[in-house]
Formats: sequence, structure tokens, C-alpha cells
Amino acid sequence: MDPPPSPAEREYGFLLFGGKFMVRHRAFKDPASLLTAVRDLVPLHVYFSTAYYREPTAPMDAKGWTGADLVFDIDADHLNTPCKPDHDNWKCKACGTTGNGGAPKLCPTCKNDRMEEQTWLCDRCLQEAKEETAKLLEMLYTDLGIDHEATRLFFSGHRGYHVHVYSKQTSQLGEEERREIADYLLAQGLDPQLHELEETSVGGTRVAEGPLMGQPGWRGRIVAGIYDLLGSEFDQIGLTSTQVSALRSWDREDLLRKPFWSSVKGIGMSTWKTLISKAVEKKSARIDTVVTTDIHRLIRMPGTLNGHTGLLAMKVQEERLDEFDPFTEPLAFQGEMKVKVKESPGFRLGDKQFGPYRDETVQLPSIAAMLLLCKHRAEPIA
Amino acid sequence: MLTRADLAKYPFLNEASDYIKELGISIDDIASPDFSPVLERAEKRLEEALSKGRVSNEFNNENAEILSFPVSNLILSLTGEERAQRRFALAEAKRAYELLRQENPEKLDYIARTTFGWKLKKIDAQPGKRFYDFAISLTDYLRNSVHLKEPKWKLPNRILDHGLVYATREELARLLEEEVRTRIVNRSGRLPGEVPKLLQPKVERTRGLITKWLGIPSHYELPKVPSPEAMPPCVRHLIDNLAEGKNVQHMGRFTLASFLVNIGAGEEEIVKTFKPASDFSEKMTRYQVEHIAGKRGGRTKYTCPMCTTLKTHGVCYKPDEICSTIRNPLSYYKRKARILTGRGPKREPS
Repeated sequence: MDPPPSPAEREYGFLLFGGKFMVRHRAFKDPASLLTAVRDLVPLHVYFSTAYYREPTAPMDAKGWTGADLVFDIDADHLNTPCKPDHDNWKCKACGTTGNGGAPKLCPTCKNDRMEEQTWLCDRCLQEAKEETAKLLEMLYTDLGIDHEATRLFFSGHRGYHVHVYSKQTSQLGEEERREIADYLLAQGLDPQLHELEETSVGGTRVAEGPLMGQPGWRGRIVAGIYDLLGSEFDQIGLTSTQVSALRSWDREDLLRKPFWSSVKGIGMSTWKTLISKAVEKKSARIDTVVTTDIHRLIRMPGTLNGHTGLLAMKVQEERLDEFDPFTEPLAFQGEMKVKVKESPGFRLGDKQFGPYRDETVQLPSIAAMLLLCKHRAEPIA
Repeated sequence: MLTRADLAKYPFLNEASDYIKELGISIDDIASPDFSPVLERAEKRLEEALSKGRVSNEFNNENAEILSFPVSNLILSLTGEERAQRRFALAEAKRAYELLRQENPEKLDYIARTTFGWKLKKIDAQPGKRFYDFAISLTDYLRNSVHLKEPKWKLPNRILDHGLVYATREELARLLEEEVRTRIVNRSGRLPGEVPKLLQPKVERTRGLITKWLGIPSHYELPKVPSPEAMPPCVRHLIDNLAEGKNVQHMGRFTLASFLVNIGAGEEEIVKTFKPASDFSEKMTRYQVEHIAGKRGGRTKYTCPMCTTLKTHGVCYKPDEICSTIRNPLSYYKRKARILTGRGPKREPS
């Protein structure tokens, strides 16, 4: 296990096999006694509170909150990856209609919105989660001035990454302040005009002005985002074909130089605003806002197995994030097992490819069997 | 760095308290006739704050200006009226703001640093059109900006560079106003062991002023019977969604339940609202409603989340005109109910 600092001031929670409710409000005087408890309980999931308390075992309002780590969660659940139709599916709880991919907001048949979802973890989804994490870390250091030394990065053992900031300064932030930080990372409520995007009149001609590359915070990032956008396929973002070709014939390197907002023929304020909103979307880090704003959150203990997958939730050296392979490094089991698989997409673990499977009994390495069992895609054979 | 004239402008500063200590004055000296200008000014401060929400400047008697501030605070604390303390704190903070915004950057920097413990840097930056004098540490910025509603205070609309938020001199003064307000509110309510008899009539008179200008304390006149027409768009949307059997996420359910609890809806009624939900469990709903109402668990009655929180979590829905004037769905309800019952907006002391 990789317990957090000040372990005795935190609350711990366990979800046990077959248990419906979390066993929580537990405290341990040191990591060794926590480890003993984990060995005795053999829980499905292990959590600790991001909050520090005077009395971690007391009821919620008597705990005496003294601060909380600043935490961020990036999860493929919140990302719109194109591979979801290949490995995720849904079933309407009302009428039983099924489909592939992330669940739609409303059932196309009966318009109900209560869905049962089956998700899977794949290279593509985790790669996108990794990219979001990289953007998050960049903003944490460059914009928020978070100390590298105080920051830890973890693979969640499922579909994403967690970032914990253990710093005295940020530990005192309240919910509202953390909400502002979440909004910043998502650029929620960002108004380009407040970053000095405006149209002025110079000698009777209308001239657009706005932020420039290299300026701090969202200003430079807006321009960098437009730069990225113009270097990619951007005809699907709601511009007319005339606007698209005007931008195509323009040299986007101009963005790196002097004021450019008035230098593209046929591109006015409203087009720039469309581009900015797309650029901001590209550059923002899609964190789960609930996790960051909750100052009493229970969060997964690094170094324990994630009960949704059997994979290890583990520390990732930040400089190794790029090369970290979530399908190789967190593998924890040895040996082989026989399981009866209902249905599963194809997947990779280590250098081996598995599946897809459908209604078959297979002998598998334990790591693969565990993943299928934890995802409720298979049943053990006694 | 600070002169006595500065202390008269900013009597809430640490230096002002130190100055009073140095003068060797204690609360018992109030009875002395030499102190009548101080008492008079203290009462005037209160009257101005309560009647106009503003406090004037009287710099011709600097000592009276410095000493009257803690006396006003003491009288107000003795009334035990929190809403009056909040109004006084706001009025004094506004007064400070008007003075602070005219100060030079060095003095602003000094006050922010010494009295309020801010970490900030004096800068000289013009990344675009605007000129910035200060870069304030993120935590000091956020602690104060979260109270300010205008979009320009939202963090994504600021320049944030390595943990520092750029601010103009004017903006720094505005953030300090918040800090001053919080400081005065936190200070009030602290009472000395013994209170001179002389103050008692002043306290009574202030109670009279409070009633005159702020009205009889009331629980903001919520309608006796929950009135669906007065509910904000977000709450109505939640109820509609539930009625249509649509799924409502946790934050939405919590918002609805806490809203209904706070407007005085009965438990039965609230449970009934959740009935159409496709995953309705009466036992679970009842348990959670009782929890929110403070009848279980931690025994805290939960209040409805703020609009900003609802925006972040996507619960805010089609905000209307009234929404732009409030910060919590409960305030919407109070305001709309007053309009609907034809009593109009509550009269604010002008």
C-alpha cells in the first residue's frame, strides 16, 4: 500500500465482498495497523478520506474537519471516446431496448432515461484519460502554481487517473474555492471578452483584438488551442464552408506572431468566438467536478486492488506518465483459472491479446480471468 | 508606514488596536466626559450603517474616529443582533473600500500583508490592454472572490500565472473590502467580561434603531403553505423530470429534497414528489429526507446548495430574471412568493 501523509488523521472505508454498504468511519494509528485490518477484512475496495479530522471515527458533524487534500479524478466515463460503441453497451431499464456505446440520454424507444451500463477499459480510452491528465498537470503547475513535490499521480486501477495534492496551503480551501478551481480547469464560465477579446473602431474600420500566444493562463492557452484546432480537421465545428476555406488559406503561424485577430479575411468576431469555444474545450482538462469539490471525499487507496478490475491502483512517476502502460504494470495475479464467460470484447493484458468471448468456458491467466469476473462478464467454475 | 490619519481611515487594522493599547485606554474610561465625542461618533457610525448602509468619514477628530470603531462594535455585540452586525460590517467595509481604492500600491500592499496576512507581489504588468499592479496568491484571491458575483471575478476569467492572480489596484481594494467585512463580522460577538453601565442605554437605543431600520426579526416571511408557483426554474425542472419518470442525478435529488425541507414542505409531501422516480424506494427516500431535515445522523438540517454549485454540477436550468438577482434557490422562492402575494419586494432602508 501507498498510504497518504498524516494517516492517523484520516477516515478509512471498506467495501466488502457481497456488502451493500461501505464500512466507514474507521481510523488507524499507523500504516501497519491499517495493513493488518486489510488482511483481516480482505475488502473489495479500500478508501481513505481526503479530509483530515481531529476525530476521524466520530459521526460526520463531530469529526472536526481540519483540512483536505486537493484531489482530481479523470475517468473515461466522462470522456467521449470513439471506441465506446465497440466495448460499452447499455440497456433501458424500462423497456429493455439495448444498444452499443455510451448510454444515450433518453431511450430511443420509450424516452425513459434510466439506463443500465456495461463499460469496458481499453487502450484508446485510457490513452485519452492520460492526455487529459497531462493537460491537468500542466495547468496545475503552470497556472495554479502547485508544488511538484506535493503532487502524486496514481492510476485508478480502472478507467482513469487520480492526482492528489498534499499541501498545507491548499488543504484549507473550502468547497466554493475548490469549485472555482474545478471551473478554471474546465474553463467553465470563461468569457472571451473578459480576456480582452473585443472589436474596436480604428479610423472607421472595425478591428478585432484579443489575447496573444504566450500570455499567461487561459489567454495564451486560448490562442494555442486555436493553433491546434487549425492544424486538425476543423470542418465539423459549425463553420460555413467559406469560413473554413478562409481559415485554410491563412497561415496559422501568424498566431505565433503579432496581433492576428484582424488578419484573416472574412473571419469576424462570431467566427472567432466559435473557434475560441472549441479551442477552450480542447485545452480544458475534463475532471470530475464532484470529486474535486467534495471536501469529505473517500478516495481509493493507492497500492490496493480495484474491485472493478482486479488491477492495482498504483503510483505513476509523473515523468513516466507517457510510457506508463495501464495494461501491463498494474497486473497483480499469477497462475491460471477456468471461467465461464457470458460475453466480453477483445482486450489486451501485458503482451497477450484475449477474446472476444461469447458463452464459452475458457482457461485463462488469472489476471484476465479476474478482470472478467470483476467486470461481471464471467462466472467462476468451481 | 501608517500614520494616525491612516488609522482613522482604517480603524480595523492591527495597528489601530495597538495604538489604542498604547494610549492606555480601557473600556471603563468610556464614562469619562472626555470621551463623549467618541461615544457620539460610535452611535453615529451605528445609525448611519443601519439607516443608509454607509458610514461617513469624520477625520477632524482622528482619535474619536479610531476609538469609536471598537465602541460601535461593542454596542452592537451587546444587542446580540446578528443581522445588524452583518449590516454594520458591510457598511464599514464599503467605507474602507472607497478609501482604499485611492491609496497608492505600496500602502495597499502593506495593509494586505500585515493585517490580513496575504501573500502578494507588486508587479508592473500589461499583458493586454489593462495594467495590473498586483499578483495575489491564489488562496488569498479565492477566499474573497467567491463572495463576488460578477463574471469578472470567476477564476477562468482571470489571469492566473504560477499560483498568482493578476489584479488592478481597484480590484485589490475590492477584495480587501471582503476581507474587512469578514474580519468585522468575526470580531463582533466578542464581549469583554464586564460592560460599563453607561453603555446600557446606548444598547437599548441601538435596539430601537435596528427595529426601525431592519424591521422586526422574522424568518423572512416564507409563505405558510408551500407555493409551487414561486419555485425557481431548476426546482420545477427537477419536479417535472421526476414526474415524467426521468432519472435525476444525486445532486439534483439533494437539491430538491433540501429545497423542499427548507420551505417547510412536510415529509409525506416530499416523499410523494420522489415517488414517480423509476428507482423509487419509499424506505430509502424517507431515510434520506429525514437525514436532510436533520432528524437523523448528524442532526444537521441541510440547506439548499448555492446557485454556483448547481451551475457546476449541471442542475441549474433556464435561469430567469429573478435568478440574476439571487444566489440560492431559496432566495428565489422568497422573492417570487412576495411578488406573487402582491406584497412586493421587501422595503430596503434607502
